[in-house]
Amino acid sequence: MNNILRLLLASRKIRLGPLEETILFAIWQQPDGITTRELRDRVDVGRAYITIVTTLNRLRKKGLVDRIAVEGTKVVTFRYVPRYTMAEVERDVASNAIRQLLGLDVAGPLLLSRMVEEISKHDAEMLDELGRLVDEKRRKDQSSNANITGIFCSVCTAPDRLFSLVSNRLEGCMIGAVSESKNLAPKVGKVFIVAKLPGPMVAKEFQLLVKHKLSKLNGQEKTWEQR
Amino acid sequence: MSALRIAVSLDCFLLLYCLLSLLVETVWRPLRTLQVAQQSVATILFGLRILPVLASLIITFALVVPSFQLLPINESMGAIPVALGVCALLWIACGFFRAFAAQSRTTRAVTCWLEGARPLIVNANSTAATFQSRRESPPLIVVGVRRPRVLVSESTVALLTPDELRMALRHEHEHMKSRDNLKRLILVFCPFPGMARLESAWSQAAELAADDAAVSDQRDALDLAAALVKLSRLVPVTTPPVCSAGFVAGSVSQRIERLLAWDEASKARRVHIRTWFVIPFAVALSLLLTVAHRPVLAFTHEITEWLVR
Repeated sequence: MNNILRLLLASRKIRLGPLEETILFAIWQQPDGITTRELRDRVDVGRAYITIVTTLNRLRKKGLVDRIAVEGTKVVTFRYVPRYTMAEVERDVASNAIRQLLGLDVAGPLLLSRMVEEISKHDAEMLDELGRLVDEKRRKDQSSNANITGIFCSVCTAPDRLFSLVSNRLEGCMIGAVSESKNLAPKVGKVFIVAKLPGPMVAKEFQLLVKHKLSKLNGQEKTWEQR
Repeated sequence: MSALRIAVSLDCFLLLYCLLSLLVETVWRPLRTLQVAQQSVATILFGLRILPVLASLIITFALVVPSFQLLPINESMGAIPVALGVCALLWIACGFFRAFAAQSRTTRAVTCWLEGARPLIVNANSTAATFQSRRESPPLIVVGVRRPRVLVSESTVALLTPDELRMALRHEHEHMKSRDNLKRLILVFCPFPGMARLESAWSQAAELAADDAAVSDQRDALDLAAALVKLSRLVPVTTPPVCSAGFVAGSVSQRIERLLAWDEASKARRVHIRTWFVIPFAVALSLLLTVAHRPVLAFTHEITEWLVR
């Protein structure tokens, strides 16, 4: 991020002192805004309150930050937000870099195609990384939600038939049925199908399966309770 | 006489539009950081973008035109009002032409992509028109203004799991619900230099809002993120028309990072700003104008003549 900041400042012909740079960097890390007090408490800033206020005012004059008034209980405080988002800065820096590159005498089709190749490679790497993060999160999510116990309560004409249709259809699930009349094969009645399922994905699949079979048996879905 | 009146009214519209556009360009940036739901951010940004054209139209038709009907016009204004009026007319004609061209390009693209397409039913509850295209179409796109349709390419259907496809379609259906294609057409109609950043911010907010509306739990968020990763790898075969909302749009990495950090509690906490909040203000303003009609018209008349002189 520091490199991008330097490139942005160079492209806009803005000169910043070390403290201005540190504070701007700190504000950038908080896209929702940061107060002067919060800035003062940061270890990397470590300056007096009034020094920070002066520096912030200078940054405002240079058009790099904006301030938003926040109504407090006693006094009005200001939150400082970056005027340019990270995406805008990236776009600005990229445009400048490309403009400079195209301005070179050597810039030709080969240089441009090499550039496109590099960008595609970078994009593919970024997508690989994001895909890996999604897979990792999915695995974590499945393992934390393992062994969900669901109770499906329904009324249908043939609960025993429903039970036999549903059981043994889903791998890794323990499914049992309990009838209200204490008879596992009543002609009409309320049936509770208790299922121990390995995760939320299977739970949804199980729900759909029971609903489908119920519609075939003219049954009505009553409740689905997940524990 | 009446030509001069029309010219002055058009001048007033153009000047107001330019002034308000410049004002909007200056003030919109801090609004991105509002701590509200993305749906509200998108609504506010779009509202700001069309505020200049809307406000100029209202002021021109509610105040400027009646003021020149009731009060006499100063005929010694010279040729400037007429020249400015011609500029305004050209600008309006240009807007209509751009909108018409965008609409006809969209219609042509839809006709081409729908050739041999077959309806796709992923969710029985969904009533939105969804088609699986056999031609070379973008991976997943909602296209059209009057009758928007969701088009899915064959490679998308093959690449995504049923759950990922369901989530991706739900995202596109949210674009349909919020009429984002109509909004894009409106933006085409009223261009102004320097508004591209506001439009881009709105577009990104609309994508995030559609993501938020489509996702209802952690699993949905992961399915949508996985669909985004997979479809981002597909190389686009054609450039989509203006009146369309593609699935892989905006900052994809930001969208995926948000989906990975999805949290039900934070979604519930986000504040929604309802659009009907503006109705009381509009009613109050209309009442005020009705009560003080004559003096307001006289004042408008003076201001307009001063502006265009």
